[in-house]
Amino acid sequence: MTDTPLLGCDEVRDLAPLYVLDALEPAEAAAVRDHLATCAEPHAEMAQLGGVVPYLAESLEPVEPPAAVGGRIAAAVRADVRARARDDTAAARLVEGYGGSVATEALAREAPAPMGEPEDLAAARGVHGARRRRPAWRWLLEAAAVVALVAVVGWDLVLQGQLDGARRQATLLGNALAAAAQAGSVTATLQGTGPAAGASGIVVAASGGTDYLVVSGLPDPGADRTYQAWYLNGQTAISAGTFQLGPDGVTVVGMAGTAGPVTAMALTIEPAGGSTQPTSRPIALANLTG
Amino acid sequence: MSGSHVAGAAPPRELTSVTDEELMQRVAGADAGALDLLYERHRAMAYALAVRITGDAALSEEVLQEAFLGIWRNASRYAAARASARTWILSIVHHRAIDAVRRRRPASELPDHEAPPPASLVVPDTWEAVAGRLDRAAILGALSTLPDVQREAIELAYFGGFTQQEIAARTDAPLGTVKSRVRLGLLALRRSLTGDATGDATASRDR
Repeated sequence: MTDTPLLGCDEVRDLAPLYVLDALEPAEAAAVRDHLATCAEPHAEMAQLGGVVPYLAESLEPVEPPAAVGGRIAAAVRADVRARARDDTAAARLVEGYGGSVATEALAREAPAPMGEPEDLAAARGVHGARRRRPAWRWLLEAAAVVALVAVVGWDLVLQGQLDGARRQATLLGNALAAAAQAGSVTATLQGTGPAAGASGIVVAASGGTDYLVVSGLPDPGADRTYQAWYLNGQTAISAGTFQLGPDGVTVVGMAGTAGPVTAMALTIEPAGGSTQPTSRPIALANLTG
Repeated sequence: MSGSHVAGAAPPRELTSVTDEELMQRVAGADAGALDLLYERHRAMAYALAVRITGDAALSEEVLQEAFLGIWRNASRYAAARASARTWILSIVHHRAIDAVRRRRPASELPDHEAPPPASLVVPDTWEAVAGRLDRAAILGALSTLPDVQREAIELAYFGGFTQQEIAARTDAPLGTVKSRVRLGLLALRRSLTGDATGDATASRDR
C-alpha cells in the first residue's frame, strides 16, 4: 500500500474514535491499521474506545431474516466444500494407496464431507490407480472380522496424566507390548500420509481393555490444534480421544475401546479440544481387521 | 437450512453447549455444520444490524449472505483472544453494511437535501426479550444519558456510515468537534456500562 499515508501516534490517537466505529475511509483505516501493526506504543485508547462498540449493535432488537438466506448460505458453503475436495489430491492419494473400489466408495459415502464425494475419488483413482503405497494394507470399510472391544466410549485418554514424561512413556510402552502379546489382540501397522508420511507406528487393539497407539515421527499439529484418534467402522467415526505428541518424537497412548465393531483407526489433526467428527482427512490409518 | 444441527453423525450432547468460539474453530476446519449453527445463533442480530444501517430489506439479505460467506472463508483469521466470535461476526456484518450504504450514496450528496434525519436511539417503555448476557435495557439506558450531540455523532458514524467530513457537514460542526463528541460519547458509554472512570482524565482535556 504505497499510497497510504504514514501516521504518527498522535494522529492515530486522534482518529481512534472513528476508527473503532469503522467510520474512516478505507485508506485512512488501512493507515491506522498499518501503524498499529508496527507501533511499540500500546495505544490503549483503541481498547478503551473500542470496547463499547459491540454494545451499539446489541442495542438493536433482533429481526429474523427470510429463511431463504440461510439456505443460500448453506448451499454456497457446501458447494465450496465439494470444490475443495476436488482440488485436494491428498485425499485421493490416501485412498488410492489403500485400494479397493468398494471400500473407496463406501468411505466416500460414509465419511464426513471433507473427505470428498464418490465421483471425485473415482476420478482420482482412475488417474492414480496404478500406484500403491503398501499393497499389503487395504482400506477397509467392508464387512470384516469383528473386533469386539469392551469399555466405555470416552473423550479422555486412559492412563495419560498420572505418571510423568518418560516414566509414563516407558510404562505405556510396556503395556502396549504386553497387550500385543496377548491372544486375541490385533496389532496393525499405522500408515501415515501427507505431513505424516514419515511417521511409523502400530496400533494394538486388545481383545479387552485398553488399546494402544505407538507412533513416532508425527509432525507438530500446530498452534491451537491437537491430534485426535478415531475408531472407524462402516458407519461412523467414533472418537478415541485427543492426544499430544510425546517426548523425543515418540508418542504412546492408551485408549479406552469402543463397543461395537471396529475396522480401522484413523488419526486426524483437529482444533484444540477435539471435534465431534473428523473435520479433516486422516493423516494416518491402521487396518484393524487383521 | 434444516432444523437439525448435525447431519449424518450421531448427535453428541456437547453440541448444545459448544461455544461460539469452538464453532468458529470448526468453521476454520471447513465444518459446514458449525457455520450453520453460528448462523442460526446470530442471524437475527446480524440482520437487524444490516437493516438498521441500510434501511433496505433486499440489500440487507445480500449483506447477511456475503458476511457469512466471508466468515466461512476467513474463519482462520479469527483470534479468540481479541474478541468474542459474536463480536467478530457482527463487526463483519457492520463493515459490509456500511460499505453497501456508502456505495449506494452519491458522492456529491448534500446533507440538507438528502436522506431523512437519523433515527434517534430511544429507550422503549417496556420489553420482554433480553439477548444473551447483554441487557438491551442497560445499553439503551446508557445511550439515552448521552448529550444529544454525542449520541448523534456516534449514531451518524456507526449506523449511518458517514465519514467525519460528512458528519461535520450534517451537524454544522468543525471536524475536531465531531471527533471529540464521538470520543466523549464512547467514553461516557463505557463509564455507564462498566463503571470504569479511568477515561475521565483524558476526556476532560478534549474540549
